Amino acid sequence: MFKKTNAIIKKNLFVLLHSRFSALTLIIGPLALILLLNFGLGGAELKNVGVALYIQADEESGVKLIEMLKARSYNVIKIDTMEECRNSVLSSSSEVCLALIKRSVPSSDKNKINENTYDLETYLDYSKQNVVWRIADSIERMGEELSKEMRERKINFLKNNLEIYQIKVKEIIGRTDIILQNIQRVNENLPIIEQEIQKRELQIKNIEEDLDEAIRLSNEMENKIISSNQSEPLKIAVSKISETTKKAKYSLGLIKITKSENKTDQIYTSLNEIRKNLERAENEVSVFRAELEKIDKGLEQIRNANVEEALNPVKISHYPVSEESIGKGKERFEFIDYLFPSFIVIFIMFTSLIFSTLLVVRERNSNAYLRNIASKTNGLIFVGGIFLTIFILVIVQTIFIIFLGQYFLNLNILPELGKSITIIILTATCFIILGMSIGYLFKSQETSLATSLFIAIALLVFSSIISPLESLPPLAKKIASYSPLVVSEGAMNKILIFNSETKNIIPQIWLLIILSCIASTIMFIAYKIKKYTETTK
Amino acid sequence: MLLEIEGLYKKYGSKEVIKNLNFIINSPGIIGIVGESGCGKSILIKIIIGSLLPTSGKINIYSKLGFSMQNNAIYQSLTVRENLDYFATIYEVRNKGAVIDNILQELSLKQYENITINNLSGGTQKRVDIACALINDPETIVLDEPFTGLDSKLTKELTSLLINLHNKGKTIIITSHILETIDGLCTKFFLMENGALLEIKKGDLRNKVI
Repeated sequence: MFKKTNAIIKKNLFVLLHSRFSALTLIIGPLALILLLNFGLGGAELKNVGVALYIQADEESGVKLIEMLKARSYNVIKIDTMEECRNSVLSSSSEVCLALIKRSVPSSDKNKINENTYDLETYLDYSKQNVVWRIADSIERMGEELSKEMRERKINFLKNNLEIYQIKVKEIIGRTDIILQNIQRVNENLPIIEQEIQKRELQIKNIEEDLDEAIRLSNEMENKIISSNQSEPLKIAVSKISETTKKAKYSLGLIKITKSENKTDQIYTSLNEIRKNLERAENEVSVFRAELEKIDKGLEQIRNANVEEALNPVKISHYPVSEESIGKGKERFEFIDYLFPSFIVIFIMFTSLIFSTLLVVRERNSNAYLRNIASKTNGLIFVGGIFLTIFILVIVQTIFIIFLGQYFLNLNILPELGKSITIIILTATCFIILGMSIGYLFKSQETSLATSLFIAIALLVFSSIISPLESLPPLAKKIASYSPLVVSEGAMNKILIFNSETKNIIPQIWLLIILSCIASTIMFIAYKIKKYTETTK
Repeated sequence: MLLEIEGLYKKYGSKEVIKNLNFIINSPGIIGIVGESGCGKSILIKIIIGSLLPTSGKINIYSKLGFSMQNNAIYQSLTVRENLDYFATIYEVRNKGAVIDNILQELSLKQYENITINNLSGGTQKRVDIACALINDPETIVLDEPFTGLDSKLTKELTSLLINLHNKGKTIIITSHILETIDGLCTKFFLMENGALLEIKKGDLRNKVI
């Protein structure tokens, strides 16, 4: 049994490798694909992604964002309005519309911490499934970086403010100490003044008492002298003593008053000093109060700050750029809605390429082909016949798929059939002619099919379907942008997802016509070569 | 004159398959071209029907030509009628419905008209191929190895069909490497040897080892 299986395998391999073209295709095909993969996707990362940037924020943040985008190899185009920004994605001028909008904070909530919060909105073409999430992820990371920087700035601001408050509090404490020292000094001075006053009052009191005693004694003496009829001179002398003593008391009284006044002045002076000190202390306290009020306000701001906004100053949101174009009984587009245009184009590519290659090879290898050649019918009529056969088949199948998608997948694409049929026809034309060219160039069925598949895979690799075009090197990206698959997919996305007007897909229509003409030329040359080799060998 | 070939050469690289071949058919008949396998008979037929270009030489065909190849030149996945209908269109046959009905009748294919070719026997397939060759009512019919793969019963049926066609005024050119099958059928014999055609008499044919 093993021997038989082995023999069958060997036979099949010989059959396949018998033709040099088949053998070459089997070896060169995978080799070329790997080389193409390496050329196209080796070290692939998003490069030169077109970003339409709309900034409604402060200059500094805008500049920072632009720097970050450029650092990530984005091609930034600054746009003036949000509408233009979104339209640039719809018209494929850019891959993403990025809007940096400074969040308006209600005046009641305004504080330094919640200032400078932003909304970073991305508007993406969700039909480019494989690039959308990579761009979104990249922007998320960039937004997070921007957010982190702003968060750090805010934390630094908080730290600085707290430091200022701390310094101020320390300063107040320092100055409070001086006030306390002053008050203490006042407290210390007051008993001394009091003591001094008491001491002086006591001295005056003593003198006064002495003088009173002297007056009493002189009065007594005067009275005794007068009553004892003493000599006039003595009377006069005693009277003078009594008068002098009274004068002394009067003088003492005056001295006492003066002293008292002086003391009062001294007390006033001291009291004034104390008042001044107290006034100074009051002023200081007022200043402290103002400072403390400021600190209180600052702390209140910190306490009232929106922690969520403070921690995430840049809020990132992603929106499909096509959101407005839904409005066809669906609330929002689903994955299948974004996938379907690409699916249709891939379907057309594979069916057109495989069917046309197969039909041409089968026709050429058919015994009945000889009867066609022998007829007087122009060879190009057979070529046209094959083309139209596949064309009808592919168009009918595609329309059938669209109907099935409409009714079973609820895709709502029939209203756009009128616009998309032009693209479907041109795409089918282009791939059918390409497939026919392969059919005419290669003789064996295996070689032709392998080549068709190789071309289909290469076109897939160099399209946005497997890997984003933005991840290709610039030259590969430029070449790939002229691939019929890329052109058709772009046009179908515009029609089925963005409801674009026909005028918006005119460049794609022209490109497909040109590509079909190029494919027709290749097919004509291949047909002529084939006809020559068949009639001479 | 129905057919004239003058100084025909066909080379593949340095190998001359056909060398200075001259051949004329002036009047209707059944012409047999015999020769060893690989002597160039099929190449000559392909050149006559126009599917292969000669390296040099001149071919003048003065009559409508029909042909049947060793591997029947018909679409295997079509029915008998579909094949006839298709070739009638390609060969610009007028009133093709009636023509097809007539051919089906004549070649006893009516009962098979809606059967696909790959479901028919080898003999019936050959008859369908000849039916296709007759679709444009040719004066000359070229048959390349028509008896290959047929059993004696089918060979007899085909022989009588060819005689019948000849009786209707058709010129038939048959190539074969089996002498017995065309021995009693042909009116003229040619031997293909070293790339050239030599007319030989019926009696001399038996002396040739094929």
